[in-house]
Amino acid sequence: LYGALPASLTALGVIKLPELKTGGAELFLPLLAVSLMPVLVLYVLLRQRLSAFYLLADGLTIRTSLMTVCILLAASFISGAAGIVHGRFEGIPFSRLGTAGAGLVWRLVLEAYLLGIATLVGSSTLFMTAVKEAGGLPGLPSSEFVKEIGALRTALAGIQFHDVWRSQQRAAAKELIDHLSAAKAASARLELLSPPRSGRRQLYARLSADLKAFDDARQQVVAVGIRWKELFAVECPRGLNELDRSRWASARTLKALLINA
Amino acid sequence: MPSASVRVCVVALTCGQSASIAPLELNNLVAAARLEYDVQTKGAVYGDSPDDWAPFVKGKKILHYLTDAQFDVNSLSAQLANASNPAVLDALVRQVDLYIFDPLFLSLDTLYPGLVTRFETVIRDRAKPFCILLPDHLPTAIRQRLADLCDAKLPLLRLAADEEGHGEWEADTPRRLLRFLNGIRHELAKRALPPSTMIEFAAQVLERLGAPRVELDGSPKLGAVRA
Repeated sequence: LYGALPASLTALGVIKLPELKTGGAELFLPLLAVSLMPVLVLYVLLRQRLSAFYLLADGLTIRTSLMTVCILLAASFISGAAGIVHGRFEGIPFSRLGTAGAGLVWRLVLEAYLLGIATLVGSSTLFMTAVKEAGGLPGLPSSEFVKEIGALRTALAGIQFHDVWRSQQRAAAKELIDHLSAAKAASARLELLSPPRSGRRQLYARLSADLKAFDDARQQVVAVGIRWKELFAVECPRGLNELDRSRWASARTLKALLINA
Repeated sequence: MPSASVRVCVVALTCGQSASIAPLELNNLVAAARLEYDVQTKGAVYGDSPDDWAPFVKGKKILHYLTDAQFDVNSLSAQLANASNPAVLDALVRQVDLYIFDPLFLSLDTLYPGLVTRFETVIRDRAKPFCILLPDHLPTAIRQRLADLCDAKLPLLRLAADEEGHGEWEADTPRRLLRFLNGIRHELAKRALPPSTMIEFAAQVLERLGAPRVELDGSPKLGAVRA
């Protein structure tokens, strides 16, 4: 939405279209190469935003690529439409475009694409705000949500890299308890901030349950040190009861989470 | 009712072990009573863990009774399989608060040599609570055989249950088990009271009896003179 908005504003005349010389076929490759820089910046900024909006890094590259392509397509399409509205393509036989030759079609596509990028990156502070700032725009996660995700990420990383995975002696360590408390609090707040019945809410509800089960396992180890070999084992030991199996699974889930950097 | 934390060891068979219970005569008895007490089918009476034992009702595992009695359970039962390891055995005899026995487990002498005797000794020496379950729905012949087995393998605990009252020798119904567990919960809660709480409690009792309140706000010091 925010990506396609600048192109839409050009169509309405709010933003003036930049002058581009795309007439000659010899300019095709140089223009494409020049346009790669803003596309790359767009990709990096989107990736940074998605990292901030989501807890986990699973499929981050694919998600970012897909979103970049979608934004470019939308911006190009609307920029092309804006060009038609403003008479930029006067003299081009649109009714016979199919028989006009590939060169003409490519020229139109390239021009729409370049205009899309130009309006996207150069003309809109709104879009740059959407991809750069901490949030607060309608439809995007609030700044409070982003802040809580940051706190949760820090706490989860603290748990994942804690010595409790290597030594039963560390199960009662204060920093682990602090990380757990912080993670539980942040997860509960994120659950409340997520829309009801949404995937996000389910994720944070499950994460809260895993954190509680992990804390239970930790307390069991504090009470009986030898249980560390069961509840913090890499492979689920035989003979565990149902509750302990779920505690073990929750601990392994927390350990294996691919948290965004 | 607040929950109490308990470290428990369910000394019971698992489904795999139930297929090889000894002696043979007992095995035959159980096999003959298969309809009433199906020890071979996984999930009926036994499961993968000793904690999966469902002594009275199919599907209601032993730990459910503990949670019904408001216990926050920390189970060491899975460690039974590693009892040959001295560190594990040490934890099983030192750190367990409550033992729950399945009489059929007592027939596994060859698999766990000396283990039951160790449990018996520590339970008796430290007055730890224990419970032996002998479900009343078992055929009389099997119940009698299992009771004889308990008498033979745990003679000291028979005395502890009868005379010292910290054990339940034959819990034959869920109700009896629950009554025993509730009693244990109160006992463990009392033991878990921090010393300061006990002192405060004693001070309040003395105060009600009219005795002057004694301030115990520090360690006694030699030569200290009250101003």
